[in-house]
Amino acid sequence: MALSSYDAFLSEKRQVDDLVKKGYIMTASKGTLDGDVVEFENKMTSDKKTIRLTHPDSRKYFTTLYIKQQEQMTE
Amino acid sequence: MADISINFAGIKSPNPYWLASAPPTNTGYQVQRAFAAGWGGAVWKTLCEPVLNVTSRFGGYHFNGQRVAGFNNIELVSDRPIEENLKEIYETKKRFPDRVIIASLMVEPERDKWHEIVKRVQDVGVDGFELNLGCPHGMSERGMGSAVGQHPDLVEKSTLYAKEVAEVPVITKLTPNITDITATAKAAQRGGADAVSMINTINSLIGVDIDTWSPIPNVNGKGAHGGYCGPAVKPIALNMIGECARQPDFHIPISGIGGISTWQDTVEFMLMGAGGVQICTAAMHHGFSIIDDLTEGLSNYLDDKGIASVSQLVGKSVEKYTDWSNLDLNHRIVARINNDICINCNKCHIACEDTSHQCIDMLVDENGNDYLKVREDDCVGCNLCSIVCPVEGAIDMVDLEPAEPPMSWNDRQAALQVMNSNS
Repeated sequence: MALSSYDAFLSEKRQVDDLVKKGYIMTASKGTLDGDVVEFENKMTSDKKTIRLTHPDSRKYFTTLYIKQQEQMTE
Repeated sequence: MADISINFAGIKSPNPYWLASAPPTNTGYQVQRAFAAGWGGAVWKTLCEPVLNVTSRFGGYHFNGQRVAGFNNIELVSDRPIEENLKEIYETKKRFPDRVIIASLMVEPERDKWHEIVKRVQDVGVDGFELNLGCPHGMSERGMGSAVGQHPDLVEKSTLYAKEVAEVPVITKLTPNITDITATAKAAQRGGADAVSMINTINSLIGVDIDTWSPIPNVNGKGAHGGYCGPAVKPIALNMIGECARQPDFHIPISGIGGISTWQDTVEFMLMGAGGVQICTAAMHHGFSIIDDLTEGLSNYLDDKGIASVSQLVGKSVEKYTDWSNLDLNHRIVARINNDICINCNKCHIACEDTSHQCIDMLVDENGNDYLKVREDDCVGCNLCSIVCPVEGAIDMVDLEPAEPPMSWNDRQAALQVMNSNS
């Protein structure tokens, strides 16, 4: 049985949250026909990860998170 | 009791209701009947070189038992000599000095022609002019009406020519048969218009008779496109008024026209920027006596809201009308079914399952009763279920507590730009 739309969102959100929790920050994003490709980088290790977010709520979520991070940095 | 009088571009009217330039304002007899009934003003049926008309002229669009959801006409402007019209305008104004008479005018976009008709008509004592640059049928084939109104440069010139000799306010009436009505609205403003009115009728064909295969309406079997109006065009008119009203460089008053049938419609048009309204189809459908409900309903609404004057409504919703890219992507609204009101017709389930986001489940409770429930996590808040639901109050659309701060598409794109510029 396919995931419900909300479950699909939670799955992608979890990927974003996990990377952020491990110290990765978003460094670039590119919109494609298959969704948003988001690049992360761990500034401590210089390790880079790329994930593709397809669910509309995930694509809202990562930019909302990025805006919040930017606001925290300027506070 | 609230004051429902208006001062529209310097024209004082006892209420915001004017009859639009159309068949109801063809003669002094009709306009005087309207004024006796209580209408605040009338825009006289367009004066021009008298035309020849055809039969038949009108078509009604009836939908699911609703008569005249839309209305179409292929009647042209006045077919009576201008002198006859002017005599009746004079008599009507003399009998009803406190009511507004606006003369609708149509000529080719030439200075001499505008000067001639404006000077001749204003001698009789009208309160203003409305330049008919919007009539979509017949006259447009002769280089007038919407043939002028679809070209911003001609709108500007025609307005300028009329303004050069007009001693009373000039209202430029705009056609909706154009990609961007703000372009012609601004052109009218550049030409010196004191106000604009919108919308004129929309190009339309009511239907085709499936037995005779003739268009509806038709003239001896043949049809031509007409002008569409009535309740069905209200959303189009409201958008065009809102689009103009929210332009930062557009400042002149708007007379709202297009499917206004009730006092509630009037409130909506005024909130979206109309300084007054013009009505035709509702009067053609129900007669001039609708003015009682229109004025009484409006007055009661203002009293209920504690608003002293109808003019205080004008434009109050404009700041809430914006580009899609300014809307909050993180706002969440979901459907909730009130099972004590729901009749289990399943229309919401079918609509959601077939044509939306498959989030309304058909369930059975412990007593074996069927019921419907929205999976709120999967609901995108599209409103479809509540739109198709036949029972008032069975489905509520509920705002959820914001889980995230507001973020518009513009905010998002700006954030992504920063992200990518730092990479």
